[in-house]
Amino acid sequence: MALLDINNLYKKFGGLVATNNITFSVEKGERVGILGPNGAGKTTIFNQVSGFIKPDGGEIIFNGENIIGKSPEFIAKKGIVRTFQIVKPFKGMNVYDNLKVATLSPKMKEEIKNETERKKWIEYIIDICELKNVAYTMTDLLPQGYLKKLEVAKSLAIKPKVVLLDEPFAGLTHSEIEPISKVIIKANEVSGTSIVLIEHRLKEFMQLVERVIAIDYGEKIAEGTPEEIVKNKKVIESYLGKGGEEIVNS
Amino acid sequence: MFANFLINGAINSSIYALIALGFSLTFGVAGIVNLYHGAYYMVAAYLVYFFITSGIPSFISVVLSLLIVMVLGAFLMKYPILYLQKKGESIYILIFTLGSAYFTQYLFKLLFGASYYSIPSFYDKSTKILGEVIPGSRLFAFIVSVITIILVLLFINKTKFGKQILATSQDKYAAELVGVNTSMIFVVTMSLAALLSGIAGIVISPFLSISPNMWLTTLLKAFSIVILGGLGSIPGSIIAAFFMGYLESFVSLVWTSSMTEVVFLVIVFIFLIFRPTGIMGKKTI
Amino acid sequence: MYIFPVFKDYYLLNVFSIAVIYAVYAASWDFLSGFTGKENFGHAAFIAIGGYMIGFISSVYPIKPFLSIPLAAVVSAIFGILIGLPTLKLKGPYFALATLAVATIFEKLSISLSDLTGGEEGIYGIEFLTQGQISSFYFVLTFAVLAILIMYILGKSNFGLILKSLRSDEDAARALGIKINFYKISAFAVSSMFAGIAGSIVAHFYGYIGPDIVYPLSLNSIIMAVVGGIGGIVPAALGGFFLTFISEMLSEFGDWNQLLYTVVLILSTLFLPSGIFNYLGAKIRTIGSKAGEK
Repeated sequence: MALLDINNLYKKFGGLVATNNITFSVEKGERVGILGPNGAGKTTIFNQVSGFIKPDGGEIIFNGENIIGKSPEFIAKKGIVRTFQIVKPFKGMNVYDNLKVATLSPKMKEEIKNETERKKWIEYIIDICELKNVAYTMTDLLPQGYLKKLEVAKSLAIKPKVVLLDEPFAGLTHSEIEPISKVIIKANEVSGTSIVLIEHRLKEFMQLVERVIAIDYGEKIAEGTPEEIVKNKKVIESYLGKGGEEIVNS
Repeated sequence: MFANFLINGAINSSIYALIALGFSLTFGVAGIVNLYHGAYYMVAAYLVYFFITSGIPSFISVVLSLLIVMVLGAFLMKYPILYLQKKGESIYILIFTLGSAYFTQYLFKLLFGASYYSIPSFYDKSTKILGEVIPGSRLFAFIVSVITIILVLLFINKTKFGKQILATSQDKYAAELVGVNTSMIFVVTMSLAALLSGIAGIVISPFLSISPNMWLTTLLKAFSIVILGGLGSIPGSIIAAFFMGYLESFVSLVWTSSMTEVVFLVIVFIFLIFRPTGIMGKKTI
Repeated sequence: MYIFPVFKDYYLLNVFSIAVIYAVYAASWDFLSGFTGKENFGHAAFIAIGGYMIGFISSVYPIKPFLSIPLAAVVSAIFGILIGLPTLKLKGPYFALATLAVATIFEKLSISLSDLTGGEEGIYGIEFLTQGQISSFYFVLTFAVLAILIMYILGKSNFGLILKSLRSDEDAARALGIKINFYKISAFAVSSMFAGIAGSIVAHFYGYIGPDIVYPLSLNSIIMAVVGGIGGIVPAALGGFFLTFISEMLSEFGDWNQLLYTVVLILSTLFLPSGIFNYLGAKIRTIGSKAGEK
């Protein structure tokens, strides 16, 4: 059994089926990518797994427990944390305090015994996420690149078992992407955190993930290694429309 | 008795609808909860009183007063409110508009004292409807309110300018992309809202008293009606205004008129908790 | 009179006492609204609970402050929770209207249920806080300092940090597992409790409770806190103290005084939205750090 099993996840908004019986699993320590054009239902999957939207059907088995329909607070305490496409820093406080808020969540309250340990842990996160030079800067003054990093750092600060990263590279330049990508790999390799990634920057995406789940119109259309996926007929069609294969081949 | 309930309910409702319409427009178009909205109503009433007692013919007094509140509305939107909106903290707009309303209240209290005033009726022939004698001033208020609402709805839906207002309310950025000057639309909308509130303030003045705290109840009613109807929904506001008008008549019929507001606010509170999007509102929260 | 020999007469002492109570009103508004971003437009309802409760009891039994103040604390904290629970999910204007509605319902009821509340006249004959003016003043001062200190420490603590995180984004806090409802309710309870205690102390201080000393406070608490500066308790409390002090000193100017009050509010929202004392605090800190460098 995998760490996270998603079986037949189903969600309907009015007449629109947003996720239609999506099934996939994430192993411990794995880096999985979810690929699909805009509006395919990727973020809706994240919203359901993290508890922000109640699914209409299916199962989400995490560590042997069905967490479907539970609150975001409950799911985060279990060890699944998500980031947001549009960064959500806590304004009016500095980077250090942003991370401190994360360490005050119920999950970390159990793991951190005292303020010295808390400080050490925050400094460790600041260190691995390369936020040292802005640690005491107010988030209102930070450029987008740092805010994106902070978004990832906050999620790692609660020692999650699974991180759902929603477009962590969107809007960044190539040189800004690299450090974030490094942080993700570090968290994954050092602490064994499983990563689930949504990203439109295909080059970086394919380099980062080991397995890809491709979806379109709320349905899973393919699954495989990055190499397999880029050659998959259905995936090419979903991105480029019918006849897309010829365009790629030509 | 029943006819009285029916007629008075209709008159109250039409005035509420007129006031709420402007409040709803300001929110729908500019996304602004304007707590100064009730003050336009008061300012117009005081101005008409002032002009008429200064010996200016009532028609000219009315036109002058309405022009002044329109300019006031345009000014408030163009300078302080848009400035605060650019800074991005909507709380300061709430505080600014509420503070300004209190400022106006204290100013008028200084200028006119705490006494109650009223103005002569614009039309004083009473009419018999369903066996009930309706004073001319109330009938006049009803007719003016209904005509104004119809004209505003026509203006919004039929004219080019109105369509720009609608477009801005649906999607500000898309409207800007197709060349609508949204800041100007905001200013015009606020001016229009001030006009509507001002008209309401003037038509009620012959039969309700003019006083420096008349704005607050009016504001609360407009705010409540617009929330009940669904923030930003014009049909919703009109339906909610009629609901409120009749509810008030009903409460004063079967209980006491001093409890009308309490009953209404309790209903609003319950609505906020169980259906914050209102009767017709889109899901916004 | 050892510490404050400047008080030659009781008039100043009185003004001073009222000003420190108002500082608690402003600080307790800040604790809920300045920290979590839920702007309470009906703070007077929280104050009324404490004050009127003492009034009701006093009309049948002359309750003494040492009993009534703890009672007011408990009742108003519970009231805060009861208002907080249903309004938790409301945002921005919805929350503003809900709280405004609660305070207006209270106001209308206190005026129309005159058998119980004395209507416009209010309720007289409440036991005085202490026997003398000076001891009453020390009582009020001690309470205010304690209340503001407790709220300040709570605000600076990890608890306060979480409240501040809710201000910018509740979803971001939930995603990390923070039980936002617990924190919001707690903020309501604390804010309401201190407002209610202050209300009950005012009732004992004047020996009277009535609509005129309660209901204008919905707006005035906002003015005092915003003009002083929100999100740090002390700036809001200083705003409450100085605005009240100045306005009491100018009270002979009557309506001009109120007009001035609103002008100060309008100007400060436009030109100094961070608040006078937050601004001054930041100035002092930069001067301090420059001096330190030398």
